[in-house]
Amino acid sequence: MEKNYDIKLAVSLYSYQDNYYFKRYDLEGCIAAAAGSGAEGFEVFADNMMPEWPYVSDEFADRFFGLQERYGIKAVCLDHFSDRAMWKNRQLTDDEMFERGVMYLKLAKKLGIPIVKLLHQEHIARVPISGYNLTTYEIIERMLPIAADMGLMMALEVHTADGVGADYQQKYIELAEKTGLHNVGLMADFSTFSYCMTTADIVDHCSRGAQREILEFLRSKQREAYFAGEPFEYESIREAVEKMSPNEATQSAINFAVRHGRGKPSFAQLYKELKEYASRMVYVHGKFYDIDENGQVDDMDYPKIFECLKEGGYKGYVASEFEGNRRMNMVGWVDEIEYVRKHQALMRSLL
Amino acid sequence: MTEKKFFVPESLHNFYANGYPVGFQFQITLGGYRNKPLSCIEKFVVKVDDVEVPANMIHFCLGFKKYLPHEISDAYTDYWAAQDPATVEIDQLGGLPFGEHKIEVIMLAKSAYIGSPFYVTDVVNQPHTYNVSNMGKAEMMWVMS
Repeated sequence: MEKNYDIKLAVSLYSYQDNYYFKRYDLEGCIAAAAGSGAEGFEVFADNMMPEWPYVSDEFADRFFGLQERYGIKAVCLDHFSDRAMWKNRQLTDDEMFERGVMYLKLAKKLGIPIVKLLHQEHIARVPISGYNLTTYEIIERMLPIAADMGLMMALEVHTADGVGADYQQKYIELAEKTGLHNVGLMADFSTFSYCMTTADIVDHCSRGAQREILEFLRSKQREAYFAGEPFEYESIREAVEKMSPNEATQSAINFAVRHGRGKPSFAQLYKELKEYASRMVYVHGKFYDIDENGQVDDMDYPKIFECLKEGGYKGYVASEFEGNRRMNMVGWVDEIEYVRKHQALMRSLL
Repeated sequence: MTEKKFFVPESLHNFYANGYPVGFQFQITLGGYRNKPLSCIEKFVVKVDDVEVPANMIHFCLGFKKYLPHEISDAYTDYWAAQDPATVEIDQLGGLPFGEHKIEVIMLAKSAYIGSPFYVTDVVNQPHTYNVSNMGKAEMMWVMS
């Protein structure tokens, strides 16, 4: 149901991936669940929930429009992938990556989806961590007039620790300004604002043999630092952790958490930049892994994040993107439907 | 548990022509959440009771299409849906005799955008094994009944 706020809420159907995988819910069921959570929009992966991808039939399109009518919810974002490595003998060329990118744009146009979340070169870091180039600036530059012609927005998801204000993301904003084609823009992902190890990660690491006591100690110290407004320095607790005799699984979990936090700007700066860029952002992922007993996301400061978005004048969708399923499903069924419902309630309370 | 199993439990059975067993089949799933272009599957080997099955006896089946192992990675535009099992058919006159058999599948299925090779395995808590040696395997003991 559409509501009258500048910020609207959506659900990425990625959040329901286990329900879909285990065939508890089909595409219709996932759309119905998103609508049932109170969201006004949903985001969909063609590569996951549209078996006909990349050549989707008119029959599918008709049904897709019908489902939106039936459940009173709009498809607002389609997910793009940069499958540079999909062939066996060689990497795709830039021309081929461009052509595949356009296939996603055409599908979005056919299905009436206004935003394409595009996997751009600086998606996860300044350079791709895998060594394979994703969709580069030059390819996006070629896609831009096509997106403009189709009336679509290409949203570049910033999944990095340094957020939308990082210098190497600015060229995309400049591209839109330079060409006057405002069909490309940045989108924030809340994972940038994670200030401690999530309880979902603790469940995951413990299922692989890590020691809960040590990880909870680490988490409590990270939280203390965040709420004191100070940077977390692992060195300050290294000795205490070593006295607790961490096993290999625990050490690997700690290393991952510490590595992730290294070189991260201060939270004060990240919030300042989120506010500064909010009015120019084109889409937002409300990432979350777990929700605590108070209904809060357990490793991110949602009240603060929403304050920045509102004060900064963000107008667009924030989509629930639940990833706790992938971390916690080894120890039992994770109720994705209920997690998303709680997350939507939390975000709604912050509008 | 919500473990995504590589082998579909209890999917192994003989198949028949004119009432005579001419082979056996079982099902496997890809796991994960994304459908995968078949061109990402660079290697597909089946071993039965530690003996490698000749490639010309193996058919990898998705929907109405069948592929020999070396044809899988040429199917650039065919996708394997993450949640839909593929059927592996093995030609063997007489089928698989009743009793306990070890079925092993060695499948190299790289990620289409990250490029790293990984194997879907049947090991609890370890659905994806990254292996720099490019060798990995999924195996399980099944009882024919």
